[in-house]
Amino acid sequence: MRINSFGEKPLSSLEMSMTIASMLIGVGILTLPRAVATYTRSFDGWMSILLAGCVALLAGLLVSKVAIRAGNKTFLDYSVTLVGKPVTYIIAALQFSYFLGFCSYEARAIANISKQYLFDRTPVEYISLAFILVVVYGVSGSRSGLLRLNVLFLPSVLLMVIIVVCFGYRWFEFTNLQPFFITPPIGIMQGMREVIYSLLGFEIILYYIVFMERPEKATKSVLSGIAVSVVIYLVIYQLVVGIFSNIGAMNIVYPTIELAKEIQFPGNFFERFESLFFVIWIMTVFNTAAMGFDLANECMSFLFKKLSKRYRLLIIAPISYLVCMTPGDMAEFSTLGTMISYMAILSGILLPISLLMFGGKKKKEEKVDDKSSA
Amino acid sequence: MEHNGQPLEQPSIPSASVRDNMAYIKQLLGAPSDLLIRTFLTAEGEKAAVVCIEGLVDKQVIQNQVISQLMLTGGSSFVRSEQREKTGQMDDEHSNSMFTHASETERLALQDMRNSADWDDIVLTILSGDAALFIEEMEEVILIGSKGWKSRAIEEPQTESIIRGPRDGFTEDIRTNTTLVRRRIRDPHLRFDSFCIGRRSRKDIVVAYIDGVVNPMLVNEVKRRINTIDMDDAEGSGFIEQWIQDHYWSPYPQIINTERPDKVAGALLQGRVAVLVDGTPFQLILPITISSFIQSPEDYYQNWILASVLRILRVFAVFVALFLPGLYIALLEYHHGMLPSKLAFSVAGTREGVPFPAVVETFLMEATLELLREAGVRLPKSIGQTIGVVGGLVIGEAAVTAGIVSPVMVVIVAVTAIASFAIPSYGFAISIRLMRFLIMIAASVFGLYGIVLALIINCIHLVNLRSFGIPYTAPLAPLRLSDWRDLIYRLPVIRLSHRPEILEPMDSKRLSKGSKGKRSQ
Repeated sequence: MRINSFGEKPLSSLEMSMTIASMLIGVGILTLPRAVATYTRSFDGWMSILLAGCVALLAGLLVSKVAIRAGNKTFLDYSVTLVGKPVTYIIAALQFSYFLGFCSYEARAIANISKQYLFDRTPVEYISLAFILVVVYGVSGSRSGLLRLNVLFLPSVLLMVIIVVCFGYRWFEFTNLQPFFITPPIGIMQGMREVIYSLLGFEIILYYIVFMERPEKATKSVLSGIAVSVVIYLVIYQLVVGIFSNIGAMNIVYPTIELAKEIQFPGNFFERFESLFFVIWIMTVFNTAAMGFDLANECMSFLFKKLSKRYRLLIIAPISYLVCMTPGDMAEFSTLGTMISYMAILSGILLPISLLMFGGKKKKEEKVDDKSSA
Repeated sequence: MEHNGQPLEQPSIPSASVRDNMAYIKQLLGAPSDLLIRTFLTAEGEKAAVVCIEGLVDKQVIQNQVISQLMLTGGSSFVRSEQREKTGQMDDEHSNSMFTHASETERLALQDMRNSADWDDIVLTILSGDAALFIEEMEEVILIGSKGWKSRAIEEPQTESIIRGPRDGFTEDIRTNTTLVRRRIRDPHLRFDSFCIGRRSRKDIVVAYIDGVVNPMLVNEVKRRINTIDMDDAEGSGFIEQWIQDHYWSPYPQIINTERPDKVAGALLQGRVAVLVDGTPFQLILPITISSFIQSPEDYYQNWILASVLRILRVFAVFVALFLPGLYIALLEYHHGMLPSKLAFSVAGTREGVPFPAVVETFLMEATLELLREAGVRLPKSIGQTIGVVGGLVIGEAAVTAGIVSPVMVVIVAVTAIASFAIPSYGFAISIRLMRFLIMIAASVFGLYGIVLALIINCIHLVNLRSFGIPYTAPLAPLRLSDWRDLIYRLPVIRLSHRPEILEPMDSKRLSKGSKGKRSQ
């Protein structure tokens, strides 16, 4: 009962930018100011964020080039033509575990923060179970519907950021930012590493480019998506440091949520804004987790071609719940985060870029062959 | 008859004998009391019979224009004219054909008549309210358009009343309804394509659209889906709506129904399709998106600023109707801290002595309200209002005095009810009522977290919905910025230069550039 060519339109480049931005803006930003403040002094973290942004932009540029070169083939099919099936299976398995881990990490983070800010008695297990079930429901619908959710949710998240910025400046103290340029370069580099972890996720363009109306504009979308996230990170970081000072930011677990806590509306008609802030933030975290789940499902469909989508989801959901429940405490949880980040750098950035080089070489060889045969 | 076990042997064409034909019709219809058969001799001496159903025909027309005319005034006989026609056609087919056709009907001064030789057609026509004229020796039957039954006058729409705007509403008669639409759009490209639906009821439905504006793929899809309808009776437009909509398991309506001809005309001009159904004042407009539910035709009759503010108010009403009771539960059961301390104290003060937790209290009151609303619909109009007052004020007051619920709860329930009445579409308001209970359950299990999860689930459902292929959440997602001109806010009429892009109309411009320039000078 569907008209295929009527109504259903592929994503415009603006919508793809929103998708990339909502993939990047996840739980990372909630802890990011703390991580940056730990390695830098006073307000110098802005350099870390900007430099990390530049690195991410460069990586995004290269990865989107790979995606464009794949054209209307999916990334894994493209990789088969370049490096053959066995290697592609390894890539798919790596990316599968990366995306699965990503989804689980987000679910666990949501559960941890909810436990701290919303509930005191409800166990983490139930909170993350409910979250993963909703994610499964989201993924079981159409994939283009999932991408539409990004477009629907991102504005409300941006609205939250704007509210925080507008009402947060009352407590902003400029002296907290001074003095400038006192961090040694090594600290800035360490801060950069932390920021890069929060900027991972733009690899999804490799898979979602097939939904784009004009795939050749993918680079622009990826770059603007990353740029929007970097700007938001910068704005929130300077607010956190300006309000809590560097020392304060170091010692707060979720500085961004505490930032929302500081907000008081005129007339006090609404208290504890941080609960609302976090609850709205769940929407973008959901998007991140759902896309991770969807792509894990996509990689799995490459690995096991015969399984139907329903069975794949039924297999992935328990695994991701188990991974989500594995870390016992905060330390283990952050180890999980670091592991997933390394996997992201390996499978999401380094592998595609090496494929790009490989593909370029192959193309040149073909050209040479053409010339010699001619 | 069929129930006697003897299937009727059905002659495919009427026989030349009037007596045989009358016998057949009587046998087929079971000689009901409302079947009128008048046999008579024409002035020419031919045996003739008029068959019609009493109550469906305009008796004056039959008597004055048919029977008395044939009996009193002579002229060329039908049979002879028919023969003459045949010989005339043999002589020279082309030059005389106009006149020979005219001679068939020259004795009847009637506008709407045609010949038929197909029994199915004849019987259906009789049952639809027209008369059939049988003439001895003539193998065709003359069908006379004489529909004339008692129908309701055009009244103001009951369910969608507005302050400024036309007061006429659709009636149960499809011909009146098509007239109401055509009176508003005098475009020669306005199309009314008729279909006959229902194995037994043979109901007329009309697919209306403007050729050259609407996307032809949409029209073809609508027609294709209507042709798949195969049921005894399409009772009202609701059956048709449920048959042709994309997702029948969804609580959200994917086709909007309206009693207002101006709404239908406006939709047609936007590039949508309307389905007019006989026997109901509720006509269907499709495809729609979720924004259609907060829009009212009144928005276009008023100043754009006013209209925009009212639309924003309606969006607010949707959110209040959805979330308010859920928020009450979440805040009182899980997040006391979120309320300002003074408010928290006063709420806690009023809740002192209430024996139930906020969850039970809310479900109790909301269920009572739904009961009241359902009872109000069933009761006669005059008592219905009384019930509203008695239910809302007296029961609420009594419940508070008895200490069953807190006064704050009564306020919450009342505000929710008022907000849900502010939504222009009744069908959508029902879905919202349903979703409200879902959100209340989620809130009682997980507090604010549950509310957000329920909201996400709702959004997942919405983004997967389609109305005739159009994404339900358009133009929010997929983002069509040019359609935002007439979405939550409405720009001045001069700025509404294009039809909704999401409908992919053939003619996308509503205003010519020249007119825009003239106004801006």
